[in-house]
Amino acid sequence: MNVEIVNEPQPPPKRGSLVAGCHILLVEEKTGKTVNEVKTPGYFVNEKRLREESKY
Amino acid sequence: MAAGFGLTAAADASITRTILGVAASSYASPTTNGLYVGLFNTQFTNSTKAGATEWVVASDGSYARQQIGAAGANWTIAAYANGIGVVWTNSLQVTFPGVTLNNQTLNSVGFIDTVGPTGGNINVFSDLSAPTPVNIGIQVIFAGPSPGPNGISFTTY
Repeated sequence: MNVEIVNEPQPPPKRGSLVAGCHILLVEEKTGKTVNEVKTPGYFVNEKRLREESKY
Repeated sequence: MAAGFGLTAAADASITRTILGVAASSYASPTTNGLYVGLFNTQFTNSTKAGATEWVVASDGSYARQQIGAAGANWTIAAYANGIGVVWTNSLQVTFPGVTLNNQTLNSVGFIDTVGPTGGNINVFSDLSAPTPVNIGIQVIFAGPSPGPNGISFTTY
C-alpha cells in the first residue's frame, strides 16, 4: 500500500493588530525619587512579541 | 471588565473608512501636532474600547495633555520584522507636572490628536490592570530610551 504523506496546513501566525503598552513611573516631583512604577498589560504583550521568534 | 489596549472603537471605525475610501468620518491623521498623551481615571476596557474619563484641571490643577512631538516627531519606528511586526516607541521622556489640588487615580493612558484641554480623537489607549493612586506632588513619567526602558511602546502585527 502506498502511503502518501501530506503536510498538514500550518496555522496562521499569531496576530493581534495594534498593541499599546506603557511603562509608567510615578516620581516625587520634589525629590526626583521614584515611588511606584506600573506596566500596563499591553506592555507585557509587546514584550512577549519582541522576545518570541516567529514559529511559522 | 478586562483591561484593554490598542485602537479605540472610534479609531477602528475611522481607519476602516479610510482604507475603504469612505470620505465621511474617515481617520484624521494628526499630521500637524502629532499625538498627545492623556491620563484617565477609568478604563476604556477590552470590550468597549471607549468612554474612559480623563483627568481634568479642575481636579488636578496642573494637568495638561503632553505632546509627544509635532508632525509625528519623537517616535522611533522600526521596520517590519517577521514574527514581531512594526514597533514604535517614544524617543524622548514624557513628563507630566506634579499633581496639585487633589489626589488622582490613574487607570488608563490615551493618545489623542489635540492638545485639549478636552475633545479631539482618542486614537489609541492602554489600560492599567488596576487603578493606581497618584497623589499630590507626584509626577507621571514615561521614560525615554536612555536609560530606558521606553515608557511607551506600540507593535502592529
